[in-house]
Amino acid sequence: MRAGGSALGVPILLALPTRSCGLARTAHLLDHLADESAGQCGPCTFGLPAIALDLREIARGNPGAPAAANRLVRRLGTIAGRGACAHPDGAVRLVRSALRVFAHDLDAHCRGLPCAGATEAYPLPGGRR
Amino acid sequence: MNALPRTVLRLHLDPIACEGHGLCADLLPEHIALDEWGYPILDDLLRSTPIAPGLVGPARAAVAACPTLALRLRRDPAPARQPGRPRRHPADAADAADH
Repeated sequence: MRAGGSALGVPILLALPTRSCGLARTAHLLDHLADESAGQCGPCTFGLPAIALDLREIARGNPGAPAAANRLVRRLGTIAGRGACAHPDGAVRLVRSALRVFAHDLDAHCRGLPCAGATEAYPLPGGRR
Repeated sequence: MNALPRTVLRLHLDPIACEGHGLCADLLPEHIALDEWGYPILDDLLRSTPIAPGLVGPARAAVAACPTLALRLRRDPAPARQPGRPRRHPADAADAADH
């Protein structure tokens, strides 16, 4: 698996409605992953909520989105590989993949043009939104 | 074969024990930086690159200064001389088994 660029993990398949925003969806997932941190290692305890906030800023297409994108990329580079378990690594991999797949959306969000579905609420496990 | 040392000294960080006091980065900035939350980033993530003889003193000081005993100085097998593939060396396997 490693040779193919993948790793051991839990696969999740989400079918995105055509008008939904991949970046907003990823921000929701990161909120969840940040909540699920065991809170044992600093880079995960503080890093995951930080990149979740960056993603939300980008998803909303706020004026601060370009700065958040730069900050996010920098933070991604300092979090992976520094925890006792692979939870933060998996979260970072998810975000990197989202930034790659939704690169066009990222560009639009940074120009203040968020997707129409960016403000939709998605249910998360445990009833959070 | 050659005159290279067969072991190297490295710092190893226990990320769970670490509480981000940051003394280590003050004492050994050559190998340790702090992230924006004050937690140490060793120059090989959870371990340092081999400590040069001249820095063993500061490295020991960093270990001694850590309030939570999260930093250890350990003698590891020397890495193979394959710059492009550091993770393939038995030293890394032994390291992984240690965690």
